[in-house]
Amino acid sequence: MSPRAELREPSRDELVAAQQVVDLFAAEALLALDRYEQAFPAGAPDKERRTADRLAYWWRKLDLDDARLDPEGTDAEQILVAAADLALDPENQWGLSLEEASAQAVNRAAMDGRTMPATAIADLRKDFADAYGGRVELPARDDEWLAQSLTRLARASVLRDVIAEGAKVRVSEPLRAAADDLVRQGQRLMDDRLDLARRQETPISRRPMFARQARNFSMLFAYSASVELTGAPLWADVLMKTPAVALYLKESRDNWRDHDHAVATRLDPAQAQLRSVRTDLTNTLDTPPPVTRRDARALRNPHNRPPGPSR
Amino acid sequence: MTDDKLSQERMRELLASGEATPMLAGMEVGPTWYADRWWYIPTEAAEDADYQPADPEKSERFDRLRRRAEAVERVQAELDGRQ
Repeated sequence: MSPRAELREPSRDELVAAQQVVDLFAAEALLALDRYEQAFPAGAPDKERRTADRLAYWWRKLDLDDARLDPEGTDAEQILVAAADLALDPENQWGLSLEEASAQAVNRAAMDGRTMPATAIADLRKDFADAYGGRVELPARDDEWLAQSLTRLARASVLRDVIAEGAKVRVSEPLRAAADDLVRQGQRLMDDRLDLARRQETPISRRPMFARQARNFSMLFAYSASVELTGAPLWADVLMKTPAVALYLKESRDNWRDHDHAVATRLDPAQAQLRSVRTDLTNTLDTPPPVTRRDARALRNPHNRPPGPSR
Repeated sequence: MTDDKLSQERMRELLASGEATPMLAGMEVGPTWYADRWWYIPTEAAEDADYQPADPEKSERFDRLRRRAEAVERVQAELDGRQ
């Protein structure tokens, strides 16, 4: 069969990868919301109300109501959905706290008979701190990070839903290159010999599948992040622009440490394989050409974008 | 080109000339607005498959997705303007 005649598999791989990106940015948005909440002075009387207003403001502006975040999704997604519901409830005059949103997410899961979220905000904070080490540098404005992370979440959800509609999606070469470069830069900094050794133990038969899904994840991640990269991006710059990168790499490392136990005990084979795919990402990427700032800016510059249909 | 098919090469030309509009910036292939309707390539089609027009139901869903994408672009522009 010639390559031209060969049919592609259905989009399950792309859809799984796209959902992973949505999950990732949901976690980042939750951390950003936490930071916004924590920035108020102790005992500030209007903290809950202002936190709710800020989340509602960006949520509505980004049309996130249509994003179909999964109320039964990851822990972070469940808490974010509960937080948004509190923020958008017209009868809720009190406002929003992440503590309350977490409690509501747990209650909902319990009432629905689902596994209750086990991740607390404190866990996310710890993961974030571990991932960043001492290099954290976040946007200075109060709600800047919240706005940025919700924007990434909204973009990722659109992309996922386009794929879910059954439409083929292929990104441009600069974006693919940006994705590969982004992940390679991160891995260079954060990987350690133990993880490298473990990756070498990955069964050969699974590598083609890893490679395919890793490329999908990388492509979708970069598109959703819209990271502005230079030809030789500094890792710190990347982290500043897309904190979810650090979370992703931290999660990857942790998953690989869990890998052996996961396969044998807690996870079924499909789940274990999915976790492994995330971690194998950087091991299977091709060496991309350098990405120029011009490439990245072209994608972000609204003047270069057609206005779209006005219907 | 036939009445209900557009090759990827032809769509690239239309995008380059501004006659067609991609739903998502930065996409080489994806849902595209042209001649007052949405065109797309089904996921299961071959890599070099032609674009085909979306049926009314899918068009409606693409419209909603486009509105969401536009909202994202507006906010992104606002955030870019802050820096």
